[in-house]
Amino acid sequence: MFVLRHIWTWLLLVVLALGVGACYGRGAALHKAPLRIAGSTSMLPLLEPLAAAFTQATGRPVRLNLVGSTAGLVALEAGAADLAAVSRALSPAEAAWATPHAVARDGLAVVVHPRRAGLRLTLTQLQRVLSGEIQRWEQLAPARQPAPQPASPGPLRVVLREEGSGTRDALLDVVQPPAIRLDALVQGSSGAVAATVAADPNALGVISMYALSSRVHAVPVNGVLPTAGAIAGGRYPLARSLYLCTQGETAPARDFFAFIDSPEGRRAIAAAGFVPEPRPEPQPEPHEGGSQP
Amino acid sequence: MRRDQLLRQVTGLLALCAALALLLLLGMLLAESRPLLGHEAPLGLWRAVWAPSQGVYGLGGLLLGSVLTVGLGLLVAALPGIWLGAWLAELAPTAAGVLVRLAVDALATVPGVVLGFAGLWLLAPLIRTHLGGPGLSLLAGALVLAVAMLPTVVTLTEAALRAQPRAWRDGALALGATRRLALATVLLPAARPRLRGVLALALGRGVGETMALVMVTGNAVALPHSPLDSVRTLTGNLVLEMAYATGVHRSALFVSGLLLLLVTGLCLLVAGAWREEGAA
Repeated sequence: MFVLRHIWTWLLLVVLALGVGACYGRGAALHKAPLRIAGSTSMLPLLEPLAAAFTQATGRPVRLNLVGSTAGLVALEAGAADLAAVSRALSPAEAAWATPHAVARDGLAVVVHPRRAGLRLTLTQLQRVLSGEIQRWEQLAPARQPAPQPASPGPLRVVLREEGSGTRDALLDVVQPPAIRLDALVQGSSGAVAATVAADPNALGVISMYALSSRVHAVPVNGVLPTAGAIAGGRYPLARSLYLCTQGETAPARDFFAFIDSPEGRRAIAAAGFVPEPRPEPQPEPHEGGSQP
Repeated sequence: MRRDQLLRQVTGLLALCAALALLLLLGMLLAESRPLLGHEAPLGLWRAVWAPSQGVYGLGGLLLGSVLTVGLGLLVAALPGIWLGAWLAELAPTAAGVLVRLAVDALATVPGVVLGFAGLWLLAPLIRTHLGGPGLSLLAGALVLAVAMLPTVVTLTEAALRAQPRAWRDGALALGATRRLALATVLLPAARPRLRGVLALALGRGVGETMALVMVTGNAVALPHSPLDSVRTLTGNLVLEMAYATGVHRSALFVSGLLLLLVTGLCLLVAGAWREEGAA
């Protein structure tokens, strides 16, 4: 048994080595210096397709190393990355040296099991759900709508991202609950939150919009569904900006920002399920995080 | 003679490297923990509340979560594990023994993530529909851990029984005992200290388990009132929050790593002491 296990280990190592070799070989074949992006895992669904489109358009390879906003900023400060992808607010110490550039808007979707389709929430109701003031589905019964299904009785379970994550921070910024109920379930990614809700008809979760699928149902908040149009128009209340931070701008980073502003870049962002930042090109309006530092 | 000496020096050097690595690790953990240890009174660390956004870093609840989950898991794994190990050591026919050992070895190589997925898709829905609660719970974590710890218990139990003098078993058989009776009345009781060591080792293995647990325990910070409630463990907390933590919050995670190292180290020490008692 022991020998058998070792054979598999060696096989795995050989395959890995070949894989790594192949990747490096391809990287070396391209001449331009690679763009190195490090940072938030929750920006992977945005950055991966965007980076692919960027490489196709400019021939510049991209190295994505997404392990967390903090790690990304550390890499940026050390000069090991050109851009840090950050999905939370910068701390004052970080803001002193890093410049954030808003690249796309992301909606936060309140999701429930498809069996609860038809549920509608106001921001106030959401606040009371998060704080634990509302603990059962009956308490969300709509007064006017004849919709018995979404309010069928049962304990209401809240599923959120962990403390420190940008998704959670952005949610609390908008909703401002006095406290979060302590028995809220916590999962480490929007995908995991969505999976939990998809499996439990009594759960209500909040996820980044890209993780929406047919297995969960997005709830209209204040009567508005999280769609690209509603977020671009500012009608959907639960939205946040995603940032790429720089410390002085390297040539690969400048190329990348130019690409993001181009029609191709904006198409790639939309195709990934995010909303391009509105960019008032003619006048440099006082807008959060322009493309110039 | 000279080759012997060379070998001894090389292995000595390697052993020193291993010890040095542990020291470096400990030093790094201590250095990274400093900001919190300076910021909190030592007693504050044992509070049950973990709320980094409010500057409250109580590790008590997380430690309790780990202890409850691993304790319940061990309770589930201990009897079947010891029974299976004893069966393999004394009673199993050759062919069946080979097959079962293969299965146990295979189980030992299953990564935590895979166990976690199984728990998430099979176990949690079953618990939710038949027992109630969110499904992602202390019980789900304990059951998944029991599966993770089972190979450790089985393999070490078998080894502990085989390490005993043959004369004991032969003596029992000569007195007319069946193999089963010899096992129950002579071999297992004699191995008791060793078996305690086995359980302590399994405990250390369970406390360190991370991925499988974070996927099935639900990770709520509230203390559980029943096995059907969600819990958060030390390891689960680390892997959940490390990616985004900064400043004191990050330092608090390193303190929980330090605590984890202490707990697993304690398990190893206890296991070592008990096994020596068994050998004596």
